[in-house]
Amino acid sequence: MRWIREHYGAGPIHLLAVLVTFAIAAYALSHALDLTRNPDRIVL
Amino acid sequence: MRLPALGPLREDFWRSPLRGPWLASVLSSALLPLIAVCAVTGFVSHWAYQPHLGSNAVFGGSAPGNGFDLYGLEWPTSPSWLYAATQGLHVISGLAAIPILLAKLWAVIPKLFENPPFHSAAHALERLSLVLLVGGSLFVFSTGVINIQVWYPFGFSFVPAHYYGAIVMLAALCLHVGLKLPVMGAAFRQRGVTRPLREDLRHTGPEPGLPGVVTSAPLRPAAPTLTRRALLGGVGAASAGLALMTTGQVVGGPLADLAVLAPRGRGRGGGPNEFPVNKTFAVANIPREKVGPAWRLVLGAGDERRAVLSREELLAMDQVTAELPIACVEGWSTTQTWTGVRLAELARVAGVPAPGTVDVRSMQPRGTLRSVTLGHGQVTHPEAILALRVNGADLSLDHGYPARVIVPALPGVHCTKWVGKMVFA
Repeated sequence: MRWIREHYGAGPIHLLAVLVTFAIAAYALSHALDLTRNPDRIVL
Repeated sequence: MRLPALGPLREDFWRSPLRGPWLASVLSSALLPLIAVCAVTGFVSHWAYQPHLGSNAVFGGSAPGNGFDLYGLEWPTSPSWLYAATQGLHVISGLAAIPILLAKLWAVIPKLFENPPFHSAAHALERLSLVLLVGGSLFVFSTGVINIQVWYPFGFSFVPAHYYGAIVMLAALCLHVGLKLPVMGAAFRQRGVTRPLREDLRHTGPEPGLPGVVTSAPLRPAAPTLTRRALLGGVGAASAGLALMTTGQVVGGPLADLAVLAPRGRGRGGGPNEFPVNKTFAVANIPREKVGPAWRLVLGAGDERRAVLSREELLAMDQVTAELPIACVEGWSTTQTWTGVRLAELARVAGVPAPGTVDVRSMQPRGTLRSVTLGHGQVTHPEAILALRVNGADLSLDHGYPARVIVPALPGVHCTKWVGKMVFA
């Protein structure tokens, strides 16, 4: 615990929360970029 | 590692005495409920499309990765104004949030130029998550506004981009709220929740900042030119004004005249067909002869063609009249009196007395939702009709002549116009 605080700058829950956020964002971005490449699926 | 103290990186560059953790916390407290309402109603709108049915999915189909969906739960048909209310709330809360979001960004902008840029790995990751939060927020709100204004300057599909952009924003927002709640609590404990609002200009001083926390409070504040009360009053008035103007296009009546920001929400007049239109007949690009006397409605069951009906034959069937709203995804809605044949009756004619779904196909040659699938509850609802007339007159071409679908609580884009074929299952 002390090691992670010294080297990372916060507790492990902080790191876990940040990683979960980045994972969700990466999931959403990958879908958005994939779907928006398809020009047939445009405009309601 | 410190960067050279140039331009906005200088300690005396950001000098407004109003900035600080208290102002940021007040703005966040106002912003959070609006974003929560906007997010929930946005996902509700996605559910209302029932993307697991037929070709309803605007993106992704029912395959994994189609995003959040309440599979198995059919979108209800009661109350009939349900979608008008949820989508109206989505647009109202989204627009009302914009002035507060801009004020919040103004309040915390000095932190963008924090020097040194980061002091630990945790701090660096936090700042990276702010890129997702700020970038996601600006993207989601700007694409939403552009969509409402019927302007598509971007070369990508609005729906998936807005949807997945919102997921990025919300993920980063949850993290941000979790990390900043203690700062917010400390700011309110230090200055009180409303005490700074009672200060006049003479007593408006700089925020002191918080011990051990890097805040946006200025190190070398300038003299105040505005009280916090005036700043927040202006932001609140802008937010409430936008909400009120948008409410007009949702609830109608005398408030409708306030909807000056609604390009499709103000097409009103005295005639029976004088109410707002989303997609006009001209835009749909349907050849004129297809909606002339030769038009026929084809009813099918599976791959079989079961019946072909002219408009006169449809008018000779039992007619149902219902007062129902059309609720557009852009937030406006309009309630009119529709007359036509029950979908359940058409299912019976097609030889499917207990229909599970119906595919409704428009004669539009192109367009994402020219074919829409309605669920069991929608087909069998006693006020779910294939409308032939509105307010006592024949439908106009812009409103879907010769026939269009109207179902209680159905999103407007699913109320298919210029119907040519219905396939029951």
